[in-house]
This record gives sequence, structure tokens and C-alpha cells, in this order.
Amino acid sequence: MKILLALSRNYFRQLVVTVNNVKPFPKILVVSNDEEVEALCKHFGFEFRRVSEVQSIEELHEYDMAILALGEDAENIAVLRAIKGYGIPIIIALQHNKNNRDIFVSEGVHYIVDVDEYLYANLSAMLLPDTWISITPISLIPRVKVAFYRVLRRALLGISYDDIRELLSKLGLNIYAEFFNRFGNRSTGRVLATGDYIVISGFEEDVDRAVKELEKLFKKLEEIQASRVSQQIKTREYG
Amino acid sequence: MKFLRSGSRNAGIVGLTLGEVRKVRKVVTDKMFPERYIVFYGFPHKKIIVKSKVFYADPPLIRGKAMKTATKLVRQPVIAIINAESNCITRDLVEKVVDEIEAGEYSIYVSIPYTSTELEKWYKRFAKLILEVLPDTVLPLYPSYSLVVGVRKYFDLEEETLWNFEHLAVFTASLDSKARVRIDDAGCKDQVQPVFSKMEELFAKSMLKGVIKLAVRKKAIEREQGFRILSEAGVKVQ
Repeated sequence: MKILLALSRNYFRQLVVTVNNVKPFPKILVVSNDEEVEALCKHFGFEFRRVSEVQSIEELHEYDMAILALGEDAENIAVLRAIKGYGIPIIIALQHNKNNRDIFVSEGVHYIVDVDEYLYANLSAMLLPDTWISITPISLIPRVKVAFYRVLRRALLGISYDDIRELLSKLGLNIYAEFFNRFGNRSTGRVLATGDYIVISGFEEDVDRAVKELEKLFKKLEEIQASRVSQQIKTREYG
Repeated sequence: MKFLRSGSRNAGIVGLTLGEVRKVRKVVTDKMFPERYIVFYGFPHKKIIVKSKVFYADPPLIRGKAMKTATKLVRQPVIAIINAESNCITRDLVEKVVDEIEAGEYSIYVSIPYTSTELEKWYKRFAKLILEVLPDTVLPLYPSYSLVVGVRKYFDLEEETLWNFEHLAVFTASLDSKARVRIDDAGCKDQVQPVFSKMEELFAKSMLKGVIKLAVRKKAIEREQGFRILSEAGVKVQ
């Protein structure tokens, strides 16, 4: 199998990792404008060409697949038109602005991957059960933070949303808390269920404090639950 | 003249817009150009419906970037970039200019100024700095133009600016001894939209930075001299 990769430096690592898993190992030709990509290609031993040279590569007749993931939509379209005449059977393109979908379709792309959907899919896989995960969504403002929590085992405790809301309102923090069910919709029930997400956003100190207090609440309830269970088990003394 | 109009040129046309396509609608959708595009660089809540393909540029409100994407989209040897919100552009003018460039009279033709008084003030202040160092080169009189037509090889540049890309093209052409550049105002002016007010200083500074980077890359001036000019003008350099 022969694959053409048009890459910018942002997507190099992820695509090369996925392509490395393909067996038997395909022949790869990388096309890019970035100098970093050229250096990395030397390191990995891939063939490298500039974007301006694409039209003059005659071997492209034999290629089976083309993946276009350059930094801008216009660049992707330019490469697409250059390789149009070679009749590559599968063409996959990365799309940055969803309004440009029509142009991609009319140029003859077979699969279109939207950057936003791609990010969303990665994020949802990242959310592990019963752990807090925090991100800074805007890199320019490091003080703003968003924390996620996915409920799994702690759903057994039977904590209601009102308990959590009351606790947070007592603290008097500048935060915004929201609950989602496992399908991603805003949850309408009363009690935390398995698969629910808790999302807290606000300034860094406030979010950290809220997370700490919520953990305290969960742990206390877990202790109560544990003591209840242990009382139910009958023990017998010998001797 | 009718049979000439039906024949197609080796040129692609791109209209830049913030949301409206007024008089220029007929020019942009004209079939004498084999490649016709509209590049939309406003905020994406608006949508426009025209016969030609619409490309949505990212990020919004940066005209220099939109012009650069236009040069990437078109594959014909001659490229025409017009301001689709202009009141001055006519079909005859565009046709005449494209014909002159195809005939080889000029390599870049720039006309119809697209300015505001504030923008001109900042532009002249910084253009003076460039002309002191490089007196032989050509720089247009106004900060930006509604009609820019030229041979594509002068537009294939790495540099970027926030507002004007035509200055970089004109500058590269003026370093080339074979190229001929024509700059005129067709007796008409377009006003810059009020959305861009208070960004004039930024636009002019990015123009200065782009031109000086180009001059350093083409070895017209030395690297240290370029840095000195930029630091005198108060432009940040990495």
C-alpha cells in the first residue's frame, strides 16, 4: 500500500503514530511546507517533498490513499486540485471551517474530517470514570479553568443534585456548575446516576476549592455507606 | 467586441467581502473567468448566496490573510482580486486590465484606492521610513486598493500582513528589473468600512514589518538595518 500524506507540523505526530500501526508497513510520501516536518521525516526515514512540487510527481498514479491535513483549508484545496488528475481512489481531508464543506465535496473528497468533531471525540474518550480532569480552554488566560468529573461507582451513594448545589452556594464562589447525563444532554433527574458528567468552570482558585469540597462530601458519604454495610454483616465472637 | 467577451481568459477572479455583494455580483460571476470565487472574511453568522463558490476564511476581519488564501485558491497564471463591496468597479474596467496583463504590458496593475483618512495618515508615516532606506523601489500612494490584478508568481510569498497584501507583491515586482507595475486611481475612491476603525496603526505597522522582512529575505537591505528600522518605528520583533 502506498500513502500520500500532506501534513502540517500540528498533525504530524498523531498521523504518523496511526500509520505506524498499519501492517504490512506502507510506503509513505510526505508533502509539507514546514521545515520541522522535513527534519522529522529525515529522522523517521520517510520520503519528503515540498507542496509546490506535488504536480510534478508522476508516481502518484500508483498511490492508494491520500490524507490531507495541512494547516489551512485553502492549502488543502490547492493540493487536492493538484492531485486530482492522478485518480487516487481514497482521499481524506481535514476541514477547519465547516462552512467550506461544499467546496471540499465539489472537488471530490471521499471522507471529510471536521476538526471540531475530532476534538470532541478525543475529549469524551479522555474523561475517565471517577476522576477529576481540568483544562484551561483559553491559553491566553491561564486563570480560567474548567473541571470535569464523570460519575461511575459513586452513583451508589445516592447524592442528589440539590446537595451539591447547596454546598457550592454555601461556599460563595464565582463558579458555574452544570450536570450532563451520559448522552451529553442536560440531565433532568434528581440524583447522580452512572455516566453523568459534572462540569465546573470559573477562576482557577475557585474551581480548585470547589473540587476539594466536593471530594470531601463524596468521601464522607462513602464512609457512612461503608459503616452501614459493615453493621449489617453479622460477626460472631469465638472463645 | 461581443465575440471577444464570450472567449475565456487565463485568469481567475476572487471577490473579497464582509457580507454584501453589491454592484460587483455580475463581474464575479462572469463566465469569461474559468475560476470564480468569493472569499468571505467577516464574522460567520452571515451567509451569502451567489452563483460562484464561496470560501470562508479563518480568522475573520483579516484582509491580508483573505488575500493570501485567494492566491492559494486560484491556479490560473493571472489572478484578479477585487473588493466585492466596491461602488467603483465595472466589468469593462476589469476586462481591460486583465487583457492588458495577458498581453504582457504590465505584470501588476493596481487601481481604485480603498482608504480612510486615518489609515492614510498612518500609512504615509511608515511608508516614508521604507523609502528613505530603499529610494529606488515603488510603493503605492494609498494604503490599499479595490482592484489588484497581476501575474501569479509575484503573489507566491511567505510573508503575511494584517491588511494589505498588494504592497508585498508590488514590492517584489519592483525589485525585479523585467517587471512593469502600473498604479492609478480610476477617478473614484472606496471608503473603508467602520468595522475597521481604531485598528489603523496596527495595520500600518504590520505592513512595515512585512515589507522589511521581504527586503531582508531578498537581500535588498541587511538584517541588522531592518531590525533597526523596526525598533525605531516601535514594531515588536521576536
